[in-house]
Amino acid sequence: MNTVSKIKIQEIFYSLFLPVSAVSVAFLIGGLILLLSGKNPISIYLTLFQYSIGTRSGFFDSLLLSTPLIFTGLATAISFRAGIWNIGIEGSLYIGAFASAWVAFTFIHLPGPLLIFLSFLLGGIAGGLWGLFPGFLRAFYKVDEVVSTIMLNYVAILFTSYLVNYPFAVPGLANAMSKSIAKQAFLKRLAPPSQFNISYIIALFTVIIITFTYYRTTFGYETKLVGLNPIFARWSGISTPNVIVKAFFVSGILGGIAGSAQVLGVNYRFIANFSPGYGFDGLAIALLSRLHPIGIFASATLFGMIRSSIPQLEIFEDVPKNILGILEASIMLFATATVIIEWAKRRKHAIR
Amino acid sequence: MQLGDILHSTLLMSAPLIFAAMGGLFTYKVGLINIALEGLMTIGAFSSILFTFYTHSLIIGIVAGIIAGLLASILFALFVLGLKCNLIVSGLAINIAAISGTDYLLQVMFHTRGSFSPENITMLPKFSLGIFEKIPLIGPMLSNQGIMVYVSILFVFIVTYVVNKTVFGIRIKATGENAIAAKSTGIDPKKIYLYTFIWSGVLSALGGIQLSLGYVGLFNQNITSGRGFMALAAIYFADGKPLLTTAACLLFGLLQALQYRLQIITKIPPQFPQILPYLGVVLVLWFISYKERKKNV
Repeated sequence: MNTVSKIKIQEIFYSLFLPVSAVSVAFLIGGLILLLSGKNPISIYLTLFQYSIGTRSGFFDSLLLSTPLIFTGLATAISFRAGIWNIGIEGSLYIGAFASAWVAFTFIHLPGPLLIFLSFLLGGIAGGLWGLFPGFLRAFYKVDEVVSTIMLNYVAILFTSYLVNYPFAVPGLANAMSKSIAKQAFLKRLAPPSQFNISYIIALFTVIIITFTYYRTTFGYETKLVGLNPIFARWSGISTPNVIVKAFFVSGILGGIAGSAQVLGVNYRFIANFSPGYGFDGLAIALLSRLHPIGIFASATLFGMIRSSIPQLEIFEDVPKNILGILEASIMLFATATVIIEWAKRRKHAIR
Repeated sequence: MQLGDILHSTLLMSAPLIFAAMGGLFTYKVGLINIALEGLMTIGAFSSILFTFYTHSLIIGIVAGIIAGLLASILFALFVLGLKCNLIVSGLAINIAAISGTDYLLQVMFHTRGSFSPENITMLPKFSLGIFEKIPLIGPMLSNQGIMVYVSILFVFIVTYVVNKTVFGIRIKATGENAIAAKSTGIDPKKIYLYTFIWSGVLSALGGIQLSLGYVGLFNQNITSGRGFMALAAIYFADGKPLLTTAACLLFGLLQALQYRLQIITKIPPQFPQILPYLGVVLVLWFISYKERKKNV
């Protein structure tokens, strides 16, 4: 086989080696913790896989729970690819979710498909605009985006909480949530009784679109270049600040769409603090899959599987749901342990 | 609602922030973005209340909290310096692990969902340094506070001294400015990084101890609710200057103290004062960069 295909196979190997080993080590650590808590990790993991793939409700719940993660994973990856540490997807998620809920409970006389379309559109744009704040700060004032996006996440969560508790509060409702969106805006459920709905199809399309964007559009090329070497990018005539702003905007759009999908497909209204950290999961997923859209799809599905079996594990195996957080943290740590790559490369050369 | 009351509450609320901020100050000066303050605080809060509960001894609880923070920060340093993991990701991972892990342990050990508030738990003692009461204005603020509150102020002085007057402080500044140049003068950047990590762990843990044992003797996984990030915000606000950072922490503490009172008196929704610290940081960061640009032009 010639050199080119050898290199390609090597690339595929390396891009799989890290995620697989990171996940394996994470499961090992999780297993150890479970063992130390007096539980049987093997039976727990078996239950996990059996439920999330083997049963009908588990399967669809896995896909359902992976939907927001696909969006947030892609969103984070776009920024990271441009070398931007955008931790603010959670914020765009909230702003986008509220915006789309607002459209869907305000324009209740519009026909279903149009309402849904506008809802997603405004949700995405709102999320994108939210992303422009840290975007401009980074692009034109070199403000470090890690701190600014984390801060703005809190601002978004608190602000939307304010919105549903005050201006848009519904008298008589105990919890902090908006009124229900119009019935015709509910996304169709594909496999009742699971909440699995059309937003998954939208997510799949988004994966395809983003893959196309990465490899075949100017934007994809420019972000990659800026991520690799901003100085060289500048010499190539690319305006780095513009690319940075665009990347924040696109990431924000995807974050907003993630929020819209939750509103239109699952909650049917905006609920304060509704996100169990979808934005941060997206970060772990983006890192684990090394920013590759297909990898993001796979990792998001894996996370979805784990999340879907949590109720089962809680009830039948007495496993607290926080094991998920432990697994996630381990994955994040080992996915970026670049020492593993260096080790693998050294081993390969040593054999020669 | 007297001024004295408000000031007292301000200091009370600021204490954990001051601890975490003094802890994170060194990592900031050395050029590391330390997001893990939140998780380290949680770990300190949890360990201290756990051990105090089991041993009925406050001292053991405090020591346990410190050791937990120490170990966690060493682990953090191991991942970043040893395994070469990404700093930001590792920090986030520590936070997630701390929040999930402590709740996990709560469920496994006590079968509690949510809060852990043992009855009659020994809390941090309060006392009054009589001399302060005579001082107008800040007198009531400084009296009748928990012991940890006074310790936090002590650390402000310690950190200010270390940063400005010790060799270690100079080494930190040097490593922060240019690690490679520092190396050529015999400073080992990795060691300095390690020390700053450890310092942030121990101090954040102390802040956590104040959170769990210094207020109502309670722990839940959200006990820190963003305070670690507020401390980080205070550091960035003040560009790492210890006294200014403390002032920022006091400001945030004031906002927290006012929050409850404002709700009763005025119609201002609680979310607004809550948003202020976070929004404030972003604005200040922008302002600092704006001034830098003007200077360079």
